[in-house]
Amino acid sequence: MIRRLTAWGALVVAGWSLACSAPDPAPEIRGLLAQGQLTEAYDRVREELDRDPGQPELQLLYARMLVGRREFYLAEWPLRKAAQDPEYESAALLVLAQAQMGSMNGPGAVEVLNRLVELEPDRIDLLELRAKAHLLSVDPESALADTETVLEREPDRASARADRLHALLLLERGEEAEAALEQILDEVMDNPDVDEKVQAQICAVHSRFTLEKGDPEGAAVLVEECLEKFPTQVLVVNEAVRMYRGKGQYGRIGEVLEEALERDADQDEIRMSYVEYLRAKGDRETAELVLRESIERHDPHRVQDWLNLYEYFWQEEEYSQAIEALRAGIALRDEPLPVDLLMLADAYVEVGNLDAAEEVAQGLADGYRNMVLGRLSLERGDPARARVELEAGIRIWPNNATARLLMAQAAAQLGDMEDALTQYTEAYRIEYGPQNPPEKTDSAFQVARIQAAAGAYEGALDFLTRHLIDFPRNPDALELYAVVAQRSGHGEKSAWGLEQLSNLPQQSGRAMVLQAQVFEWVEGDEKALEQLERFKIDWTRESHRQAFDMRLRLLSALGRNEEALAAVQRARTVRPNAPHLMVSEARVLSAAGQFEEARQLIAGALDSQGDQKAAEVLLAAAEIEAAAGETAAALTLFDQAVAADEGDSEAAYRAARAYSDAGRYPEAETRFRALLRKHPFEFRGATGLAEALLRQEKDLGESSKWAIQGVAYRGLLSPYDIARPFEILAEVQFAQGATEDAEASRAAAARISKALSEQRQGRRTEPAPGVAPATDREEG
Amino acid sequence: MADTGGFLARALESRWFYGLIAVVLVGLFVVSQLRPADFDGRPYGEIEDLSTLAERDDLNVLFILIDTMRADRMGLYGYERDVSPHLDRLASTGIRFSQHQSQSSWTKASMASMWTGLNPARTGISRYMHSLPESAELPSETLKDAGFVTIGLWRNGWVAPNFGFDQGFDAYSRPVPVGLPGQLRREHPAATISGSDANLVESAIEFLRTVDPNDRWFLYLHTMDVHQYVSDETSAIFGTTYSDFYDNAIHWTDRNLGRLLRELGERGMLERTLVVVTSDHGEAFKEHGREGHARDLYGEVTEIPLLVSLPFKLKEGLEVAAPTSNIDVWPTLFDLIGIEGPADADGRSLVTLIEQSARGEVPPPGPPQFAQLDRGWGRPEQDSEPIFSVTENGYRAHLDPKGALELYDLERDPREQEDISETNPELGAVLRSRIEEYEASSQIPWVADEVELDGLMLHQLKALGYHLE
Ligand SMILES: [Zn+2]
Repeated sequence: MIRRLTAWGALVVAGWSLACSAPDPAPEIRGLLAQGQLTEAYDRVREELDRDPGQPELQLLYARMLVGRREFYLAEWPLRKAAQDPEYESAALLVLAQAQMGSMNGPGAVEVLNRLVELEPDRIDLLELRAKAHLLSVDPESALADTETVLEREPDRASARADRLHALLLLERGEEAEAALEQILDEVMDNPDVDEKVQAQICAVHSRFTLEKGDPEGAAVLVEECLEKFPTQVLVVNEAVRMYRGKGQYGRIGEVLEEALERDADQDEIRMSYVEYLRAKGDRETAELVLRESIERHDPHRVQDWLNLYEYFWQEEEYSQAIEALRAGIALRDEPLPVDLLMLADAYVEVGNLDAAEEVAQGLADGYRNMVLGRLSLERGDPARARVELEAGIRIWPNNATARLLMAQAAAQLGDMEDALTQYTEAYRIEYGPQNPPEKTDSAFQVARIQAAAGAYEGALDFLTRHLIDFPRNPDALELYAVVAQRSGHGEKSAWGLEQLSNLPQQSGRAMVLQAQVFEWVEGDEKALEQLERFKIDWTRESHRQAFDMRLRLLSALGRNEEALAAVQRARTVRPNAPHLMVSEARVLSAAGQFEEARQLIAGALDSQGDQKAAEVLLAAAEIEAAAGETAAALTLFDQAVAADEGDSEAAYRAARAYSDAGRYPEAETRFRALLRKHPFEFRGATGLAEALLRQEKDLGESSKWAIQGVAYRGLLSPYDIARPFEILAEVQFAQGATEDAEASRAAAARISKALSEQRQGRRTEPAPGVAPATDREEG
Repeated sequence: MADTGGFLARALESRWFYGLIAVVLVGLFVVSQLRPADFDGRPYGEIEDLSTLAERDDLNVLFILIDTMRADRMGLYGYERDVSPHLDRLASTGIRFSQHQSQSSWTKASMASMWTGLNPARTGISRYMHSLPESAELPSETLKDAGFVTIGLWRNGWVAPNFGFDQGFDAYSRPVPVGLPGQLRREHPAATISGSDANLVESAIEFLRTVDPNDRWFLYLHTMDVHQYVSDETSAIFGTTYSDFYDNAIHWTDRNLGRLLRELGERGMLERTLVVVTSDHGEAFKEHGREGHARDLYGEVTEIPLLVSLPFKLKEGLEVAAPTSNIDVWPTLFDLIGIEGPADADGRSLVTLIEQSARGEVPPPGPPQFAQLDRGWGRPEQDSEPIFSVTENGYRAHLDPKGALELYDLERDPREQEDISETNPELGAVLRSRIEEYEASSQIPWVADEVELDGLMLHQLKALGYHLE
């Protein structure tokens, strides 16, 4: 309660400080400024005082200059010095009190004012100032005492009444506050001597008071009255917007803003609120129009209007238009500001015009240039350079969480997972520290991803929990949460993650597959199929495709090809030309060894797609050729699949792996390297690269590095894939002559394989390795 | 998935961004040169001249407290990075205490001990609402009574006036710049308090400009940028980890202090000023799993610098290698300047130790050193949870509230990594009894006041990164 009261108490004070503006503290300075001789005067006074500090008049003058420069905290010393002279004591102390208040130092001001009041007990203005200082010190009792003394002596002093109101509010003496407020209203509202702005503010305060008193209807009436009297006063408009937002009356907000702007088109703040409102409403056309209107209204154009338009386009992700607006704004300046150029470079990167971005970056100061070049280098596929630039940038701009993320990406692309984890953690620390900025990146998710891969499941869950507070609808995070919770034995948490996931649009199929997968790993194909059939798979839904295909695959694996074929054909009678169903059927046929029929279906699917071949179809084609023993054809198709969708890490892994399985290690190496650069968290690639290097008898050191990484980050591999990193590591270790280590690795691989096959045969009740936590890193 | 691109766009929304722009635009105010130049006109003298200081009636005291300064991160304590050239230079003609320790790792408790010369068990200042009562006698009061102009410039909320630390000061100010563009990046995520130590130093210089040449003064400067990991572009040269930022901030603080020393030198004031540099506690970088301070009492958070620079230069800096404590600082200073301090301090004057060190004598073993921290300091509802450490004869023991003892051999294991309490039960028992005696015999000479913190104050303290509930 107290905080709210304080908030609008401050409103009152804001109003009054405008109403009774303090006496001009430094007319000399204004005069000198007008003559353009401020610096000279300043220097001369300092020089004079250095020669002889014992000149109170000059000390006072010097202090006033400092106050004029808003260097309140420096003015303290010349003022204290001047105050040592009885003749200047009062004047100096008064400036000192004002300087203290200017520095928001309430207690300091009170101390000085105590001295002053003692010196000149009859001055009401000093008591009033002390009341304000008490308010600044959050000492409402003393403030109240002072204001009451003032009002006793001068009952009509309205400014003191405002302070009294503020004090009563801080003291939570609601009834007295209300009476005080009413009295102020009486005096202020129809008083022609009071500035309209102040009247508007008091009006808004009255409405807020009524609202917080628990009378929303009364408050609404009041705010409408305020609007009627002061339709263009920002404070009133803001108060109305605030109230209607609270009530969910968005339409009325639009009306209020539009009307205010119509009456006074110069109200920039209202204009921006209106644009924000239109954006939220989805009326982009009008929003843009309102922004452009402000540009056209001013001749010459104002930089800020263009920047506002830039900001708008940026938020709308219309980067080309953002650039245009930004350039128009920059062109109005004599000299572009660094921030302009930084934004421009950033926008160029966003539209992919890297050369233009680089050119702009060259004109930037150190820290900025490093940041831009770092980002550019990453875009250009040069993580090593990116790392150097970002390192330099972060050094002088360390609180930039996103730069840390980029640094992490560069490190990950270079295979330096430890540094990647450090950088992600730093980004996290910046964002989730006491500062807690509202805009978060996905740093917590990234940390979780690496930790989960490293088998640190509990830590990963903590980070995911943090991440999900800010990104509750991130399907990747929910999936990871479910998987990690499941692997670390937190069944309930896992179920929660799956439920959240399946509640998201387009994600229910994914949740089904995840759940069935667990059954597949733990209890075998039959149980997995049972589980899957418990769900209502709607094969017409794009989002259920994976689940549908999984069902077909399980049927085939269980020797129930007929059923699989029947299911997919049933679907195809409804959607005969759906390519993904053709692919599904082709896969079923291929599993039954009917390659020719499968090929025909794939050909049909490819035909139906014109030039834009779907990676998925090409991948299926490649796998069918591979199953049919047509290695050369399969490899070509794999490459085509990767080229069709560079973002598909699964296709990229399979392609590289196909080359490796075909014994074509140099090509496999190239592909694994590309995979790891693009998808550093695809840790099967690390094992694959280690193998490709080993088979070519290349640098054993590098091979070993990747093999170790493959083992260290196996925490998210499927149980079928877990033995392999150990097998490859064992081979590398043998090649290095580390026989003992190699034996240990090999034994680990054997244990995992054995456990897996036992479990697949239903002879184990314990979960397969990999489904259990993979924290036994020392095995590797 | 949230896309991580467009980073500048996001950064634009961050306050840090504008800070940096300001740096580029304003080009920063000039903070002297990077290297200390020769502005020091002090004559040379000998340790034997120490006793003459008490005779002088023109000596000032500049007392610099660098918040959160651990000793081993300064050049004068052997740090390999060139972080503190100005203070190193001061040390090269002054007295450096190489085994100096604070009495707590939390600012308020530590400062209360330092000012009063009393161990924490006797100050009664251990929780966040505790306040030094009027009856506590602080050096500022003693010096004011002795005719000094007493000025305190502080930036850490734990030494704010409402905690009783303003007693005896003619002016006790926190320099807060207003309306100036931010000039620095604040590397510490918690760094929200306004201004920087540059403002502190500017304010100190303005004080020096106005002070009457015939007045003696005591100027206490409590810096905060090391605590907040604040630095400017020129100082940010050591890398990108938190530990690097800490070094950057030391470098920045050193430059600011260099600027003040230059001012003193150019005004001819160094010849009549005793300059003291110390800290309230250190900073941990996961040496024992934790970061920051005010959580335990290991060396990284209690081993701090103490540097005394005399109004004359020693030909060679003197190292006092015997263990010393922050409670010794003021008894020593009073002894040096010939003013009688409070009688019942736990600390002792180190002047004899200095003289012995200068003669190359090995001093007899000193008294045990204590440090104390109430782990519940930030949670008023929680019961007191004091932890203690005692350091004696090269060993340090830590005692936790449940009575568990850790023991370290500082000679062999200065980083306190290997607990030897199991293998040395007898020594452990001796040190445990030291702590128990210390606790039992402590008599608080006053009752610590309790203050109620208003919202504003709490907010400011939280902004320092302290976790209060
Ligand atoms: Zn501190």
